Amino acid sequence: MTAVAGDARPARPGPSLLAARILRMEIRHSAFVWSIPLLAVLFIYDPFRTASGYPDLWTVRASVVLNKFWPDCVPFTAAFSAWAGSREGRRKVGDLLGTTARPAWTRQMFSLLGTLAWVLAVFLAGIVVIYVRTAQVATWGGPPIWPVVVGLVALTGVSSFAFTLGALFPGRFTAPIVAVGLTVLALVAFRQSVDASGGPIGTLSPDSLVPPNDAGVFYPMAPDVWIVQVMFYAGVVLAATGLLGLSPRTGGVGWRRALDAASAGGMRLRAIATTVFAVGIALAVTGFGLAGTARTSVTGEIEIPALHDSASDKPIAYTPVCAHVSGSFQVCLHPAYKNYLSQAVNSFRPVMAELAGLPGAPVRATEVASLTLPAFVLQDNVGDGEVTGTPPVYKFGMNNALALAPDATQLQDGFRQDIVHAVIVGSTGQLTASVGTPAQQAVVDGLLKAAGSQPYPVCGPGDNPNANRCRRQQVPVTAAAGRFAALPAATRRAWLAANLAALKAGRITLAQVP
Amino acid sequence: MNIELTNVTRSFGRNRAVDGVSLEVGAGVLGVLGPNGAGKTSLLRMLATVLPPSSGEIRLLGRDPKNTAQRREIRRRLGYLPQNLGYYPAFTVVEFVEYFALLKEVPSGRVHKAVAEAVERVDLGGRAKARLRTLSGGMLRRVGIAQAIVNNPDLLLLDEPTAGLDPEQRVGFRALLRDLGRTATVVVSTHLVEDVGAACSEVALMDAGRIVFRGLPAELVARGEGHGVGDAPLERGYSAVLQAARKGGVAA
Repeated sequence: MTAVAGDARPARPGPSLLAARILRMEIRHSAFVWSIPLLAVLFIYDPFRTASGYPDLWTVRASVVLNKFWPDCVPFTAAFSAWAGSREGRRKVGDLLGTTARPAWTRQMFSLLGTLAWVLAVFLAGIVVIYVRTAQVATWGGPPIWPVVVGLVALTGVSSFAFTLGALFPGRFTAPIVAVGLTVLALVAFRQSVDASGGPIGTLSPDSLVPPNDAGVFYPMAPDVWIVQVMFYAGVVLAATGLLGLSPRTGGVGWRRALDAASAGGMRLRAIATTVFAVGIALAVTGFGLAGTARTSVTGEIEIPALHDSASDKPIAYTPVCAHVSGSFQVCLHPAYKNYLSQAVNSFRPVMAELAGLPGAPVRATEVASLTLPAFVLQDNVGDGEVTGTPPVYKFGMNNALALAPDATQLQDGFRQDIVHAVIVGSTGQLTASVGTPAQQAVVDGLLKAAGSQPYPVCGPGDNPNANRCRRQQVPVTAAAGRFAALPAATRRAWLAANLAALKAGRITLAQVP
Repeated sequence: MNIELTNVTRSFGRNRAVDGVSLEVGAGVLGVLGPNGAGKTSLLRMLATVLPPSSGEIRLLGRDPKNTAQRREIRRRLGYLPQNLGYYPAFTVVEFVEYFALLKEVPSGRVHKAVAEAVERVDLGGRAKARLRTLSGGMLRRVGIAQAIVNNPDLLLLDEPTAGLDPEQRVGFRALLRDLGRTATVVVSTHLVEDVGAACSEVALMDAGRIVFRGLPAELVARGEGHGVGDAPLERGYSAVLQAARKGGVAA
């Protein structure tokens, strides 16, 4: 037997080389790859198809990133991350790996990154497809970055959490249990909280509701909620990865020793793990606390008072896109809705051919932010609008119009019904929407019928006693409307020119309608 | 000395797996023999720095494994083959060995060469790109040996290394052990006394957590003279020493 072996050993490999080689190996062997075909099918069926059916607006279409694609990715991310995390325990290589120089934490980080790289790459690829498709049709604005950031951080949180659970409780059933658990959390707990619009859990859920069409169009989207979500999920990431470095079950140093080391101020791995864990918990708790302070802002969005920048409450400057409808009457839309301009023109044209130029009739139709319209207008009909000002201008919103009218015909009817109603009946200024006097209703429906549109919806849909009674009462109105519609256009216009003021004032009876 | 143990014990609950072992080992091949439950695997796991001792002092390669930085340095120069080799079935032979080379901090410029050499030394060059799931038990054992020697260790710990190897592979492996033992300290835990006779320069016999014999294989053979238990001289020495130890005397 001889003396101690010599110490002359070449330097250890650089961290970049180690990272590149091990990461390449982990990426190559990540089981997540097997889920990609299924995820692709799910992507086409769910987020992509849904986004393609949404209006051509960046904010609305980008919402599928979080409320469709993110939940779709959660079960796969959780399952394969937990599977990767449990690998050392399942394969019983703990002793073998425990004798290597690299700390267990470093080794596990590479394993986590190997799965995470696929998760994030697939998620980003899906986003690119959605954004490229949206870029082809959107006429204003650009791709929102925040949903991407939130989605990436939240998926990283799911992956880290699941990986740590897998490492702490290795077993062949860990992955499916974690996948089911986190999916239930994402799809049930989060979604219910969102639907109930309640509490910090709902605010923290990336699986949010589809935003209004006007979101980010007239007013900037305040990043408050997104910042809180990023804060919370970044906290989850750090806490989960810190836990990996601390728990003796995952090759970590143990809680007591870690705390001793941290209190001694040493920058060793266990101190770093302790710090990472503590910062993660602090971030997550702070995020949760801030989410609890959420409230509705003046622009109708959710704001976090501690983070809110009042600059995001100021309207965005824009140059409207306009087109002539009939005579001097023109319609102007926000450039984000440019694709709907011809639809709006075609909708307004037949009714404005009869109304334009009459006393009190609007000289222009201008789209405005829906939230600037009075509540009694918003609850009225699909084409939300009112005639105000001098000269009178018909101000209307596209927000509800696009949200409530699933096809072009309904959208067209909505536009016509609302502008005719606004000109002939006007608003009462009260929350209870007015359908007008029988004579007003007859004229409105007559004009709509002449234009080939459905009558103004007075009775509501469905086969119920109230609606049926209403329809029976509407019979004389419908008959008068038919008579009015049957008149030559010039006769209708002449009668309106002579009687519009009296009709609006309610001094014309149904019998007086020609 | 590459291994210095001073009164080392390791307990699992009430069971004392290693009981006051003191040992100094330099370069060469030390065979550790003993019946099931004698404490061989626990001793090797402590030497491999994966199991801390319940009491006593351990110094490996002149360093204290309790110290984080020194333990890391020990591990860079350590090779270990556990009794039950866990592996990743989807990895190829080369990937698995390279994975361990990287984790053992083999210098960057030497990784490829070290991996290739280790794979060749265990005679798996022809299956270098085969996935581990496709290999036989004996081949997997050789993969385990390859990962253990990939960093050209100064301290090599092998727990039942020849289990599953066919006779031809076993002969080759013994030659490899002798070769490694020229510069490094190799500790081989085994049930197979013929491995000890053929490859080990020294032998230690454990029973009930204690080392009951330490000496040259020839000395163990000499202890067996006159005893009728066992087919081979080493086996007779093995049983003679165990019998003596169990009667109360620990042979030196």
